[in-house]
Amino acid sequence: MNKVRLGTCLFLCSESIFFIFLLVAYINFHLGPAHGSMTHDLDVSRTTINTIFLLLSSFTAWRAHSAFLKSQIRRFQTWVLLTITLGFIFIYGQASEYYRLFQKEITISRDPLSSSFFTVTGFHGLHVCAGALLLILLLGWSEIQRRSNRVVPAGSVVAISLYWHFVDIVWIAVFSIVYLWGSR
Amino acid sequence: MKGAIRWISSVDHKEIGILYMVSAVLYMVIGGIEALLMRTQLAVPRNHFLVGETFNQMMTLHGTTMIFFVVIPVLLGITVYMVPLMIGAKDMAFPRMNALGFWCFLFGGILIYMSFAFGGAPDAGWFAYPPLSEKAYSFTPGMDYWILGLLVNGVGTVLAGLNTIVTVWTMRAPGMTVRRLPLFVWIAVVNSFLILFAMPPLNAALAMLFVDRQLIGHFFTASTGGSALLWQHYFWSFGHPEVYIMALPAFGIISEVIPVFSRKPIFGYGFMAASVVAIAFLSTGVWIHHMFAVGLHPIILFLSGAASLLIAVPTGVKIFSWIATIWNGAIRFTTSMLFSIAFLIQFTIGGLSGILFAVIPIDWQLTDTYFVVAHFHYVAFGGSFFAIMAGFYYWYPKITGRMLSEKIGRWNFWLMVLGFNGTFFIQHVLGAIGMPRRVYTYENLRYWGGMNLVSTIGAFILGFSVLLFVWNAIISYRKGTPATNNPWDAWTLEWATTSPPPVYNFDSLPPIRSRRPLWDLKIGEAHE
Repeated sequence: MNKVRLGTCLFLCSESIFFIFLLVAYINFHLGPAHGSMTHDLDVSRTTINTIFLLLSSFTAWRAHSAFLKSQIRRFQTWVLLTITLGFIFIYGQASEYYRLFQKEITISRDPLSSSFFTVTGFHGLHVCAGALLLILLLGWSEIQRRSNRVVPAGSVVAISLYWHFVDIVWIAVFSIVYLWGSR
Repeated sequence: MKGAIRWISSVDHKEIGILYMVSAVLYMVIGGIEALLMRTQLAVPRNHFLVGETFNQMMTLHGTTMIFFVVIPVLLGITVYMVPLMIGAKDMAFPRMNALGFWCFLFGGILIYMSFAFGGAPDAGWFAYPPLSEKAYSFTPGMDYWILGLLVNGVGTVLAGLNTIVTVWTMRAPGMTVRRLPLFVWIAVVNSFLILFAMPPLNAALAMLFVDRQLIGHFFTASTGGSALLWQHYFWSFGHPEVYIMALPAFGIISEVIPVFSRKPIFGYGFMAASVVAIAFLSTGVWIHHMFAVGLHPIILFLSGAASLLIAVPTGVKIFSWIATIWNGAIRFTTSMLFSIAFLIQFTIGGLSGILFAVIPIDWQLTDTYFVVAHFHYVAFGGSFFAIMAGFYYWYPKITGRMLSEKIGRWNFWLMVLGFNGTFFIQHVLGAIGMPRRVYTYENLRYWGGMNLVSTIGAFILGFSVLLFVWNAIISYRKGTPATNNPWDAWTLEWATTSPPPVYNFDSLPPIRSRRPLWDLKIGEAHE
């Protein structure tokens, strides 16, 4: 099996466990005595739309990888740019959700449930930012290579694509637990 | 490339392995001094040499250093050095990642020790239970440095584990099937999976504690609705597999050394390989045995106690297999073999005291006493560290091209046995009669002073024996007998090249048709 693919998958398995533990803390506090539970203040519909943007970005990431495999570098770069854009829209959506909650004095230091809400979604957001940064670097690097008639190594594209899909899958888990199950 | 630049920029697995090992030895000296300072304080009752917060800092740093910055890195160093050689590869799968792993380890430790200069070292013990580790009770930045240092170090550990798995999966030489892997390599792979599984709970717990401390979170503060127990669950979900991460590679080393110096292949290779998987698997399910005294439901206690007892089974399989390997063998009592035999005895003692704890009422009596301290030092020091010493005496010729002095080695060994057992055996008694752990002094109760004094004397003998080892390593590097390719007449691939190996590892590989390629070469027929 390809080294980079195996290595990336192993790393992502490890990161998944990290998110599982953060989610378990959230569930633990959710099941405990509610502390003026902030779950009623979550905007499920807006976040659902935000989720769709992130899911779309996984689709565009997949198209980007396909184009790269067929050596269609220009097309690859366009799809990567779309992925980055959708990623930024997601980040903006998350930031405005945070802002809305801060307006209602719901911060990380309000109560245990809030602490774990912001920690889970915060770490996810950080991972999205890291992924967006990687995609930007990939885009830049592929442009530099293209101008010298070279290509970026396939390994980089594989690793970054897998990472981006992982970030999406984590969000599905977080969204389901925090927004769908948690806000009922 | 010359000197420092060469070492700082190296991506060669052999150089990185050496960097890991040498750095670990340096941290070991620091951790050892911390231990001796504590033992000096505890030598007599009501002593005033090192008290209160300073003692707690020593206690915390000693544990943190020895676990995270000595035992694990030295085992990782041996792993990244030997695994590629043992499978006939030129390097690890990801050489630069290998280097990154080392630098994360080195700088993680530096980050923690920097805390001295910035307001105070961490002092809440190596497992940092809240509420003590929360801001209200640990208001110096020491805990924050501890958190950040461990996070950085943890990244390195995960990367090393990942690298090992990919290397063994994809870079084995032709003929090196999984069932022909040296046990050290197989165990390194299983251990790496354990690393990938065990580090994330620690990272999650550390992140949450950091949020509590710096952003006024409420994860672990019971007074504001948090759960101190949550920390314990998370930390020990990491902590228990962690101690097996310290033990498994040690098992791997012993599985290499004992057959060579008994002139017999390992007894029950299949069972050895399977038992390691069983141990790794079970180790993820027994974390609650560190929490038997916190008030959990009896059914949980019962199940966890049973699971903890169960781990003794695959471990026992290993001990019996090693003994069976030695049985009727043509034993060569090299220093390496002496350390291996001491390992067998001492690790068994540690294992026996361990399964005592699996019996709940016994645990309730002995928890947080010196009996625990005795137990884990027997497995981690008398076990893992002695295995590391066996590995050093075995592989030093391969790594440096020089033989270690067997004469100094004998002194090293016997003084270490005397010092180690002198320090820790009596702590079983101290714990059983009620001396609590993590105290900086104690009352002048009958025999307590005498026993503690014995322990302290043992500790200084132990410290001296460690210095002897370092001395042996240094002087043999300068003046030791030059080593041939295969000074021990061993059978695995690392011995099929020069000592030390060239940068590309092998000029040519022998045909690999069994678990002992060099034996086959000598005898001229394939064994399976």
